[in-house]
Amino acid sequence: MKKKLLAAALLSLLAPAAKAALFINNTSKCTVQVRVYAHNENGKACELESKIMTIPPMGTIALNNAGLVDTKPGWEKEMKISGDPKAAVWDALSFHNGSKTLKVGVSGGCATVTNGMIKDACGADLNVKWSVAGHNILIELYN
Amino acid sequence: MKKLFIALALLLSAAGAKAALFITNNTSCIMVVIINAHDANHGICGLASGRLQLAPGSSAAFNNVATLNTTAPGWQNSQTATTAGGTTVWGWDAAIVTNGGIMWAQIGNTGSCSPTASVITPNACNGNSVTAAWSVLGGNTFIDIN
Repeated sequence: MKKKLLAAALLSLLAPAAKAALFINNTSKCTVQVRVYAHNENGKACELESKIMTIPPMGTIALNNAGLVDTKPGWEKEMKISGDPKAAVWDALSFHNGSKTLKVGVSGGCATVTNGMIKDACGADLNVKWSVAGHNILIELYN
Repeated sequence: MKKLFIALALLLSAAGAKAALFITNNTSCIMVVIINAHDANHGICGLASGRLQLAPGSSAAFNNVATLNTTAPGWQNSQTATTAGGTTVWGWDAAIVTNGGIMWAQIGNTGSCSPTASVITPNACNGNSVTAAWSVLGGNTFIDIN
């Protein structure tokens, strides 16, 4: 039973990665700075690292597909999505508080956890949680 | 007692963290969404948004009902929403998803002004049927247009 549950949980983590929108929701009291990671349809996990995105308290970012990152905020090393942007896969998100980084994401990607806690830039405990919600991927940042 | 308090605190922080509205248009057509919500001053579906236009392959996100006070498409008739009282007092109720033509999909929570969770409209986008679906997952609300 436990094994089945685990398998189902793993599948639910992996399956909807492609053709999924990525939503980032900052419900914390502090402005956050994050990067997202993705890969092209036949690429390697986390081959694409976005530039920094800044989200104010109660702010959100909605990314229908990884192709949208090409123009805003762009990928590091001036990389672009190749092939069908809808087939690109979201891998992870990293939060940086000025001295430490917490990376959350899918298993098999470049993150080792799906959620964790770190101090935010205002000094409070910040939860960073990656989850799959239906067809979408949701990252919640909250105190 | 302490345990109970911690559990309660966790519950409260979780509720506060999860009540956003996330909208995704995965069709190849422009879709327009009108959102209904409630708060301390407006009953179920008492708040009605302006027309949110979503390009093909685009998404939108609103952290809470007050977000629409200052973010397009705003609330109709100069309505103002408040998050006073927390997520037990305010919430997203329903939506109308239209293609500007034959499609007029009314979706939403059970007991709201549009109690159907999913509506399929044949021939709504380039000859294809379009499904507008409303779901609440982990406290957040999702509108998926596929």
